[in-house]
Amino acid sequence: MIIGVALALYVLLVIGIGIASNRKSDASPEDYFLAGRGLGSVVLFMALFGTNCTAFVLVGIPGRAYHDGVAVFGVNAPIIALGIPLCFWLIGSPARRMGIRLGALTPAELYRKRFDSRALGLLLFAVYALYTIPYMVTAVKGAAVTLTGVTDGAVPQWVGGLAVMSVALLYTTVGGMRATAWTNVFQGTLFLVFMVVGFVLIARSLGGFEAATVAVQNHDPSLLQIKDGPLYTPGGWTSWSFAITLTVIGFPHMLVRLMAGKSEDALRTVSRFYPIALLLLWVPAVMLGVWGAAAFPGLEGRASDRIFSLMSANHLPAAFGSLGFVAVLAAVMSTLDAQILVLSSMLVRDVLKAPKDAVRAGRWFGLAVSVVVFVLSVTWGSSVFEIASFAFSGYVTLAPVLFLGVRWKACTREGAIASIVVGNVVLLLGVAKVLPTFGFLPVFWALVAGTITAIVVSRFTRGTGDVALAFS
Amino acid sequence: MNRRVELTLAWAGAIVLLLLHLDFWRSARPALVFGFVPEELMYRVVWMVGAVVYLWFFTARIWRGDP
Repeated sequence: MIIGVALALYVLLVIGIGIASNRKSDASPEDYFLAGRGLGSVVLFMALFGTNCTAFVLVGIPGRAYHDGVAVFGVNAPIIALGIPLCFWLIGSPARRMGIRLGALTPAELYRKRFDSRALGLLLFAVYALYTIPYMVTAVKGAAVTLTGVTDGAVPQWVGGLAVMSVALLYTTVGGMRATAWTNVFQGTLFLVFMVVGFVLIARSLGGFEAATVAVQNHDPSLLQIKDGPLYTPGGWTSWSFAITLTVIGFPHMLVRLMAGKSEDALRTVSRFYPIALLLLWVPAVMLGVWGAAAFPGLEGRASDRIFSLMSANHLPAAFGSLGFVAVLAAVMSTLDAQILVLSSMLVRDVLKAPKDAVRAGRWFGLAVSVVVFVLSVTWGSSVFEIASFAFSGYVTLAPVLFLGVRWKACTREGAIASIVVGNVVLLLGVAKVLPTFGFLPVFWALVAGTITAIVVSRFTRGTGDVALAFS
Repeated sequence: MNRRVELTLAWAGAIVLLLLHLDFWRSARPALVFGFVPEELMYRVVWMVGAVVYLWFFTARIWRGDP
């Protein structure tokens, strides 16, 4: 009952924001897809933070920490707290300025125009779609698993997934980027506040921070230190550090938000506060999973994805605990909406040739993507963390082109295309264990191969596009 | 502080933080700091505070704002 009321209020609010945003829009493609390039510091911060943090953090990370302990924090949170803001500077900032100069509304369009290559635009769209759809699946699965958990199985996973997908699609298609950015302000605040307050309340319910952690020490002390495993060897740790850092700027739904920033100062302000917000979110996410290992022992494999909902349902007051699901929903939708929008905008701008009604075409494509994601969410058996890891590795293969394309005038169309192809081939061969990886993760070699390929091929080919305008 | 010193500090800070993140020289222990914070977690949180300080310096002195 309480969950139903909280859910209804949440849904009404985000749809209301979507409708209100639609009224402010001037119906131009630039306004629909980039909010008129007018996102100021606060909205930009919440849009980026809300988009970046999804079921992977609220469901996948506690689930992984349940098995691997605090090592999950060390291998992820610190390096992204430093690396994401630096990538905003390295790639996001010049991409925003170049996007204005070239009149580009999407990441694929930006690089298509930079290199004057339709083939590159199509390739970028294909790779973005290939890795974004699995990432969207993790969001829907995360929300569905949590809803099933908090309702003790009364709501089947497919019903939860369908509901999440439908609501996100509704307000995104109504209001575009402006709607997604403003709903992200609400959603990001909601899940950040819930995690911090819920963390304290759950600790109190477990007898205090000391009792909760000592219980883990007695249950399995290895959860409080770096564990053994491929991710925690020097090679695995180093590879993943690069991958998890570079993957975020590889998300098209993140890069497009940076392109919607109002000014350079807005990006700088975001970069100052970003690591603080990550710290506030990741410590609770990991510790809930670690404490959960002692509180609810025996969850095997991907069953540990339920630990967040189990801890919320059993160690929080009923009214506040029901917000746990809404918080997951907020985190999920704040990413899903951005993904629907950016894939739609890339289809309209980079695949279809100037459709009569770009906004309507984008809305129909958003619906088609949503159907595919929903079907995959009920048929794909892997855990949230495993699917996300696959998607993250794929995005990293784009990093050399994203960086060199906006920072190196001599980078050529052929170099960019070859880099993406070689990077993905090396990644797939590494994952399939056809290529040796020498203790590193396959994504590390994909990054190295993609970077070398871009530089070498660019040296032997001639540049295309209006480089003077792009870098003016 | 002139530009050259600022750039040197920026590079040095990034390299030091990266080396402290790739901390394979540290031994793993399940010890608790203040009785409730795992030592491993405490090390990472302190590192992140260092990263916050670094990024404030970086965005103020290296990353130029709007003209």
